[in-house]
Formats: sequence, C-alpha cells, structure tokens
Amino acid sequence: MPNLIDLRRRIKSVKNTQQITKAMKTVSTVKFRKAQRGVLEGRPFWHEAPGVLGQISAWAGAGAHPLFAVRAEKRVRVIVFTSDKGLCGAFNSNLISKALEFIQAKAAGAEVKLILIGKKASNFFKKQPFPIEKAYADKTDCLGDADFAELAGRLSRAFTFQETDAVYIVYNEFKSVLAPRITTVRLLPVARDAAAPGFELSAPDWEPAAPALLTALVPRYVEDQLRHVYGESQAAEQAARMMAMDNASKNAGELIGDLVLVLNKIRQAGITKELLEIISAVEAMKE
Amino acid sequence: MSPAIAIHLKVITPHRILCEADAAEVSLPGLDGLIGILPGHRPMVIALGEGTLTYRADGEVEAHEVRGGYAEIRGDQVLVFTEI
Repeated sequence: MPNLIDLRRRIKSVKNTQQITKAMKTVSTVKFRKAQRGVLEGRPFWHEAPGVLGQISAWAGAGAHPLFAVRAEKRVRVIVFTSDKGLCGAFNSNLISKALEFIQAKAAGAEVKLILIGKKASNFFKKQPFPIEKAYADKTDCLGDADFAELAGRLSRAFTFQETDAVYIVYNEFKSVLAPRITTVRLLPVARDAAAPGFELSAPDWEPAAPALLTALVPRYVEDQLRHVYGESQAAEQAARMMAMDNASKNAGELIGDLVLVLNKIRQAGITKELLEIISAVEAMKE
Repeated sequence: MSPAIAIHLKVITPHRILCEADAAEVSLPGLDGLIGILPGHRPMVIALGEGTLTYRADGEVEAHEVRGGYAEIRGDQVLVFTEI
C-alpha cells in the first residue's frame, strides 16, 4: 500500500499539472477566438476567389501570364504548414504523415523540394531524403505580410523561370473545433479546376487590357492565398490545442479524484487501526 | 431579347462581405476612371483602383469606398473582390 506522504505529493503534482493545462487552455482559447474571427470573415472571399481566378485564367489562356502556364510536373514544390509548439493533440503528426504520403507520391514522378513552416515540420523533414528549400522554424506564429510577400515572390519567380512546375500546399484547414481537415491545394499554376462548373467560352472584355490587368491581379492573389492558408492553419492549431488542453485538464481532474479516494481510504484505515489499538488497550487495562 | 432586370452585386473583402444586393446599375472605380454597368453587360474583368463603388437598388443609391482588387462580370452577376 502506498504511503500517505507519497500520495499527497503525487496529488499535489497532478494539481500543478492541471493548473498549467488549464492556463494553456485559457491562453489558446483567447488566441483561437482571434484566429477564428479572421478565418471566418475571410471565408466568403476564399470561397469565391479561386474559382474566379481560375475562370479568368481560362479566359485569358495559359500564355497570358507566366503563372498560368500548366506544365508537366517535373519539379514540384510542396509547402507544409505545421506549428512550432506541440501540446496540440494530433495536429502536427496527422498533418505530417499526410504530407509525407503526398510528397512520396509526388516524388515518384518529379523532383520535390520542400518549404516548411513550423518547427515540427522542420524537425521531421530534416531526417527525410527530400531537399528543403526553406524552413521557417522560429516564431512562425507571428509571420507577417512581409514574409508572405517574400515567399510569394520567391515562388512566383521560381515558377516563372521554370525552376518549378507546380506548387502545392498541405495544411490543416480549420473545419471545426473538434477536428481540423487536412487539405492539399495547388497554389501554382493558377488554372481552372477541371471540375469547376460555369465555364463560358465567350471571352470577356478586359479593363485595362489583359496583360496589365493580370500583372496587377495574379501576384497579389498568390500572396493572399498564402496568407489565408496560414490563417486557417493558425486557427486550426489553436483549436487543436484548446481541445488537447481541455482533455488534459479533465484527465488530471479524474486522476486527482481517484488519488484522493485512495488517500482517504488509507487515512481511514489508519484511524480505524489506531482506534482499535486504543480500545483494546483500554479493555486490557480494565481486566 | 428580354433585358435582365437586375444585377446581382456581391462585394467581398478578405474581412467580410461588404454588400450583397440586386442593383439596377453599378458603377465601379476602374484604374482609368469610373465604369458603369447596366444589366445585360458583356462578360468583363476589371482591375479596380481606389475610389467609390456605387450602386442603385430600389431607387436608393448606396456607396462604398474600395481600394484595389478586381471585379468579374459574368451573366447578371457582378463579383467584386477588394480590400477594405
């Protein structure tokens, strides 16, 4: 039977852990609210924009803008969005295993280079045989507009100079608080999804003329899409952490309950034993 | 040919849906000046500059400030993607 002092110590330590997980839950709840607002507000935009851009690209023709060119995929870049920090359930591990699957499938027919966002992805893919072009592994929870402009510029350049034939993104889309949805999208080339409906053959008027218009439009779109994906991933991360910490707090609570029960039983047994001793002593003295 | 009665206008920003309405006419700030759109307009893609987007719905004129982005006119639908 465990002794009382050990048990008390154990209960205290579990309580401390619970306090920490509760605090982390509170923090991620606040962060989550903020991230969620951004994502949900942006949803209508991102629901429509890729379709419209695809349509525009179909209208303009693949030669109208360098980023529209659909080529055989010989060199592919894959961007993987994870988090820096753990303690968010299966958020990173699920994503990484899906990403690895995707990358291996692509690597069968093309040369794959990786762009990794988040420490978790960097640590994992360091040990994999795929070349890493760039890894953002520090403070990825506060990447800003400048970072995405830089990344979008780098990708667009690589694509324009035919150093890469396609860019894919693997990320956790914020679907609900309970579970994110792992999503793969193609960032480049910007081309109409073959399954998208509503294609009209009649070419539109362009204002200003197509080249100028596309130059203004397309790079911006690439950058915005990166930013959007990042927002989704952030919201999903905070939601996952919130859930994980909530579960941890609950488990700690249960554990404390069980331990306290054992503790009380032992204490009770001790008291009963002492009482018995006293009573039997008194009985013995009477005789 | 029966002219369409209304244009379905939808203005979306990365932060919210700015407005969604059935308008009789829409005027967009293009890069080189205002562009007016009436129902039955040809398909068109317009890059937007900085200025005021106005539309008339139910006889009332509404205005919104927009900056950058683009608009797509397809059928009787006008989709505007803009900042702010």
